[in-house]
Amino acid sequence: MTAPATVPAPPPVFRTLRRTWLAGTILLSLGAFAAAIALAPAAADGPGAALGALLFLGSSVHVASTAWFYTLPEIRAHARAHPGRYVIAPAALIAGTAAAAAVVPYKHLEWALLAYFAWQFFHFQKQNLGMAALAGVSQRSGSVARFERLGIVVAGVGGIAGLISHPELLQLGVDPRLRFLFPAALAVFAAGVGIGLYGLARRQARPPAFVAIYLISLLFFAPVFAFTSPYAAVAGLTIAHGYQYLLIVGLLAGAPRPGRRPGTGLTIMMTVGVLGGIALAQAAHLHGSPDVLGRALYGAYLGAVMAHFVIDAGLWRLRDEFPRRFLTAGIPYLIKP
Amino acid sequence: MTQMSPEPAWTAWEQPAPAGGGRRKTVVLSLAIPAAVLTVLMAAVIAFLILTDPANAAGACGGG
Repeated sequence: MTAPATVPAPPPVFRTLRRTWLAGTILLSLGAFAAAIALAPAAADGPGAALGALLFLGSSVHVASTAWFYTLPEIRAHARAHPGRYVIAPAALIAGTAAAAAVVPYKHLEWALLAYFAWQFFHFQKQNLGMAALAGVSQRSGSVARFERLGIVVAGVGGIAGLISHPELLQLGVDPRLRFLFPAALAVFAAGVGIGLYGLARRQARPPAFVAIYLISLLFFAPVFAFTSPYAAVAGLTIAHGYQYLLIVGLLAGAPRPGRRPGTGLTIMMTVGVLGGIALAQAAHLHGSPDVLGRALYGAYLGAVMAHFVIDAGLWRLRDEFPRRFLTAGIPYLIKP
Repeated sequence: MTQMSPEPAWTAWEQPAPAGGGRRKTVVLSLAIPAAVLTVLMAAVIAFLILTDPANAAGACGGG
């Protein structure tokens, strides 16, 4: 048996990039909540240019940036090997919702949007778990433990229930008559926070950046229960989620790749995100369109967002071999510090 | 067990910089092209926001 060779020391830039991600995630998340609360308009008004711009980047651009993954040969090869999740499901979602929105009047479609938003916020909560886990792993403090994970899940379920029972916060015109569940949703959220804090207290090492990102993840849905304005209650979640995503995908896109100039990947990713985001934002406003094509484009927009949920659920699942290998190559300073 | 090669994930992070006169050109191109693209993108975003606001107010959940 030969003695193992010495594992090379990580390049010094890893430390800088790890700190960039930790500080960026904390500042972008807290900044998103603060900006949404500060810029939230009065009840019936629109969001204004500043909050509208933040929402555009945090929502449409972040969803569109998922398409950047398909510019990478290894992702296309993985998609060809797993067409169900990466090709068929996205195409079916876009085509199916386009057809549904074209024929179903919006006042009926709004009921389906309740389920759509529940899925959206479940997707947020999954990212929250991932962020907390990465924060722990990247600081050699370990991934989220059982009670820490349970706390985020339960708090997230409470937050989603709070939003569904209070559809005005989602700016939907339907009333599922579930308002009586709002206090129960708050209780579930509070229980989740309690469980999470208990889990955090049991942790042996608590690096400050991990604690900050864990608490952001645990308390992510707190504005839902604190504000009656949709923008103060929900826009912060939307923007924080999107900016967290753009930061980590930006770090992946900026990672060096053999045969590519520095900056190329990030430039491609931002181009895809901004141009795709403009298209998505335009389509998102067509739900009241008098013509069938406009409504179909609105449906396609909903399908594209759901395709983003499906694709992300596969690409970031670290227990699978391909995502683990792909992410370790791009952001090794977070996965294997 | 023999570990002959460094951690594969790190190899891409340790690409040697091009030597000699090519390096300057590479650095300039590396910065200039992304900067030009980003400038165009920012212009597109600003034009988009000016043209669409306030007629198309963004929803709090991200949609329209």
